[in-house]
Amino acid sequence: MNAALNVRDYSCGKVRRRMDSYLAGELSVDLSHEILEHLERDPVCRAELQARENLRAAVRRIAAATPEPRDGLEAEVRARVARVPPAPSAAPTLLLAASLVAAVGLASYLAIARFGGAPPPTARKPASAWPAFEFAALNHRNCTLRHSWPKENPPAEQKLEDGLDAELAGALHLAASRLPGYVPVEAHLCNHAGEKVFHVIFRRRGTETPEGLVSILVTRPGSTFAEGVRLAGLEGGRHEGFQVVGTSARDGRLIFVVTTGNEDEAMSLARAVLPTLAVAFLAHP
Amino acid sequence: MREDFDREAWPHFREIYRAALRLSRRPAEAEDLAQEVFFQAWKSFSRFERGTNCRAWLYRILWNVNQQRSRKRIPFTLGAEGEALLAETLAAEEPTPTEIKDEEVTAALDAISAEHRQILLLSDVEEFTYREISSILRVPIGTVMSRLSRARAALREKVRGTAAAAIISSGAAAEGGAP
Repeated sequence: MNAALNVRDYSCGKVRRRMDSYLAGELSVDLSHEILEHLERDPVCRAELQARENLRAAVRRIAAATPEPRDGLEAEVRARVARVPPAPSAAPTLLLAASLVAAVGLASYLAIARFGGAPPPTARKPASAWPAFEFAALNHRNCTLRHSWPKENPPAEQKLEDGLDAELAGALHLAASRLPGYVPVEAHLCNHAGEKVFHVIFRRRGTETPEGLVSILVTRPGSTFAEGVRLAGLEGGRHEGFQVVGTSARDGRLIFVVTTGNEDEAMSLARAVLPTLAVAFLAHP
Repeated sequence: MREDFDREAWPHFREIYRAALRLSRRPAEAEDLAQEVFFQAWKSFSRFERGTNCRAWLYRILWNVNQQRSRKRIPFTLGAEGEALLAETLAAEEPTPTEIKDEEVTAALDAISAEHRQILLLSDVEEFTYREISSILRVPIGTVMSRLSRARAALREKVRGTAAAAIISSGAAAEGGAP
């Protein structure tokens, strides 16, 4: 503190605490005036103010050098957003209507009834469902490659369940029980393209690279991008190097398996897990 | 509604992308963030109050999305004791160097925490008011002020450290270069 200066009401410490708010123009006229008075008398605080102003200017200069978006990005995003209808006022909230045990039992029964003796389900992707398949592939890419999830491998089971409600924790275990060759390594609720999604990531046993990762994605019922999309049986398609196979749950959710593998692997995983999960979400029988 | 969105939101796309790039530091991640912001903005546009600050609203979505993606929630509650300690620290700190090179500031910005960097960008670069920052970050205005104070103190401290290191290293180079 500059004790030699006859500073009346404001010590240097008080002035310095308010200096940044003063520079940001956030102080009242009275406070600004008092600070100015102090600065007129105190060259050391004046120098400090100048140094802080220089620092702010440097931060602005550095930020101003941030590159612009690449050409065409805005047009691409505009086109994607244009395909999405505006959200309805409220999405219905659905609860698991049966216990997990009952769901597994019924699922097994229905899975056999639905897919057992029937010819193999089509792997063609219906045109109307294109945004949903694209969404699934990009969400898988985003979480597994960009965010490099899972961060911990393998994580403690308790950790996988953190933040999940009973319904989703049940779905996690259900999916895991149907995929014995895969270890669940990540489970979370993520936001992608404005949709909340339940996302479980599995790792093929014995693999370490992202190519060994498989996603199971479950949308919320009533999600707007899936409006009007009803996938009969298992339907699949390829997007940006990812194989996607999806189906509709009885409550309107879409459920997908996404993998970097080939169509046969994706379809066999989907057969193992999707019908069971589809039936587990039983809110609308 | 599309016309309203075109008029209110899209003019901010480039700015939101650049803010996303400053947050994420990776172009691919920034593209993803910016796209997500506009998806969410469009889907909730019916809740946007026409005539209010659309730019601040988009930043609020950006911060939300970024926070959800980073999956970190760091509480910033100092408490009375912390505030007192902060006041002492700020009052007692060394003077800020007057001659600062941009590369030293860049290094200092890299060295402070992401939370500190983010609030500094909102205030000093995007030039939002404390009230607007409070709305974007959904924290009380007092928290904005204390968080900003700590962020600025942290940046100054890093700048001092970087500047001192530069002086020492140039001094050493000069000594080493002497015959």
